[in-house]
Amino acid sequence: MAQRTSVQRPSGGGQGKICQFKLVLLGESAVGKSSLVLRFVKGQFHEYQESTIGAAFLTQTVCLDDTTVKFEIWDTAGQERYHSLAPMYYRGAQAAIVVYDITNQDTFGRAKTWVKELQRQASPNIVIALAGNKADLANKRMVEYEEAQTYAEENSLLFMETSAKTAMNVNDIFLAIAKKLPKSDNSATGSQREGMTLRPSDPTPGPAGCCK
Amino acid sequence: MEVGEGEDCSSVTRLQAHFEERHSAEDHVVLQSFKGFLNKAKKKFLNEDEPDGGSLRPRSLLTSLSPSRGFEDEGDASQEYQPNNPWNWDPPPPGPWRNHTSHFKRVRSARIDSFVAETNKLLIRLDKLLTDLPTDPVKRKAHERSIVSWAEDQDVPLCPFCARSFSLARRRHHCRLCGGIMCQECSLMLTLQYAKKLVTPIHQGGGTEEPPTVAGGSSSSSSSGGMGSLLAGLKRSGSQGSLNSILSVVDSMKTEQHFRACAHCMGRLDARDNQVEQRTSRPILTMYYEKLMEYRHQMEDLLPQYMRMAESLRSGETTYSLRDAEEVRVKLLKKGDSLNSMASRIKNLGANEDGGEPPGPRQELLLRRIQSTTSAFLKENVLTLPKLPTQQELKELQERRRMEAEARLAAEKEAARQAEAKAAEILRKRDRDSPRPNHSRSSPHHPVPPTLRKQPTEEVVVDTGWGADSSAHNVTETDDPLIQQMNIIRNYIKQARESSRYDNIPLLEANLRELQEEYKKQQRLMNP
Repeated sequence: MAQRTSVQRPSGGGQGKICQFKLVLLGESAVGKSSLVLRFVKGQFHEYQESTIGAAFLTQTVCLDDTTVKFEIWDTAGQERYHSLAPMYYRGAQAAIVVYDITNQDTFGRAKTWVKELQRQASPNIVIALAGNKADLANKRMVEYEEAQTYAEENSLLFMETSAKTAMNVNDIFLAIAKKLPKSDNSATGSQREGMTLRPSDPTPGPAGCCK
Repeated sequence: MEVGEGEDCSSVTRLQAHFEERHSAEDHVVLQSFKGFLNKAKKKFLNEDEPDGGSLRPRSLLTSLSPSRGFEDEGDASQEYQPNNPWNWDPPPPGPWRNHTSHFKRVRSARIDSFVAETNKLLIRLDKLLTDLPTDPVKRKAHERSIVSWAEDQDVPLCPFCARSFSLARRRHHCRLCGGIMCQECSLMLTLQYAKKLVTPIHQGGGTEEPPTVAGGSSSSSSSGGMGSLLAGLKRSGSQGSLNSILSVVDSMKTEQHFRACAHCMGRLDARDNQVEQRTSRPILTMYYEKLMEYRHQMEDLLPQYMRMAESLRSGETTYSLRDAEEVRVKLLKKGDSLNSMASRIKNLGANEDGGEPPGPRQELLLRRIQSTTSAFLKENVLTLPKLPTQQELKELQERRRMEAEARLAAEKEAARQAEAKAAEILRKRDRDSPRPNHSRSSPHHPVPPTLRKQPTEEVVVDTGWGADSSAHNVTETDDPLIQQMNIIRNYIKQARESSRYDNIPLLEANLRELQEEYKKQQRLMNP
């Protein structure tokens, strides 16, 4: 349901707006999606993280200036058999993190197809971030930083190399997403699902938000 | 020294003069101190009082000076002069003194040591007595004597407790713990049950239940009283013969359930028992209070959550479901109820103390304060608990909110359109690196360049992240991923409810509905 997002409370204890965003993690299996989220949400890291079944749900709140941003995170399973679930989660999402493993070229290729899929299927205003995870294993690097960065620039993605193990850039990438997300009161209602009537109140009209 | 009867000594100078002429022969020291005092007084009066009014006060002061009234008799005058009270001379320098603390400590610790050692000795003996205690009276006596050597009969002509001589009627009895001799009346009975409790380590606690291994098994373990003591008076094969061998059979059932002990040993054991009890048991008030605070903390945890939910619901938001809010409300009210009843129970501790001593004034104050604090807490939090809208009201509220939001959006859009036209020129000049400048509601008319807006002032990752435990569910691998995911979400909803993360429930429920729709769609596709 679309109107659940972007909650504003007049007496929120002095702080300003409270925005809520749906964020989805996508990527090949075993690239570290769950580890990334676990680091961000609980500050933990498990060397032997179990593989995710279906899609896990987590929440985390960050404060940006005077805005409180609550991430509603759907950590999808990377395994092939769960791919049918992914559209259900990225469809209504305002942000996505596509994760690949810098020590594995194939996962980068898979990340590109995820980005393509998102660009085609997801909300047109979705903020996509590309995360090259396992940056602590730089000596086994197979995907060059520049290569990924160029790709990210071409597709206007946020890009960072991260490490769930050392916590490098983990909070940063989420914060960067939070900053890039529109935080005006009603603009977080990003889900334009097929079959849903576009009310005149639809808050993310193309011309209003972008440079024409 | 006396002030002369007829003389007028009402002024300081006269008094001094009187002193000098009448009492000059007297002790010099006294005279000197008196003079010193008078000078002091004089200085004071002359400085602080006008000459006229001064004549009144010195009179009252000086009359109280007469030795017959004594120095501790402080009249009104001295109280009036508090800040510079002439009576408050410096305390005399202390004479020679000694610190007795170390001596006291030495004596005390020696005493404690000996007491503890004695008690431990008794406990060790008791333990030995209890292990493999024979049921047969004769064997049992041998067992007892093998552990504690008994005093010889001829050494003790009189009972050491009541000083009466022993005879056929007043027979000698031995304390099983120290071997000492006393008469029947002066001996105390240590029940086996009590003995077992004493030797049982504290942490095993419940070593008191099983009755001693007696053939009869009757639980008349109370030591003295009525028939029991009468029989006991004659029982036991005394050290002087076998007169009571028959009787010993009769009352063996009774006698075997306790040890005879003297008042000394018993006192030590009782003291230890008390000590252990005090160390391990807490007063009922403490337990009540802990419970009370537990309820209160639970309420304090729930309250902000409820407030958030109620406020959100009343403003027509759909973040929380009414059902969850109701649930929290009921929880809160229940907790408040328990809190209240606990508080009144605490208060009643003071009122109808059944069996215990009545509380002292301080305790009473404490009880009263606990009660008043609790009722204040309840008054402040529970009685003012905001009401939740009804289902009907909620619908209206949500509708109104939607309308408002739409109206506002329309207005904003209009404003934004106008602003954009104006801002277009400005914006054109700027470097537009961001594809989406923020049109925040607060400043639709003055679009701030995105580069400026992005200056972070402060960003904190709030450590309130929540993630459901995904290992808690067991899903078989053969399941349809959709069904699997539905189960996962159901499990998440349950967990969210358990951990009171009510704000996540609607999200999850929405997702569950989506999944169900998707599943139905799939089914329709597969079996048209």
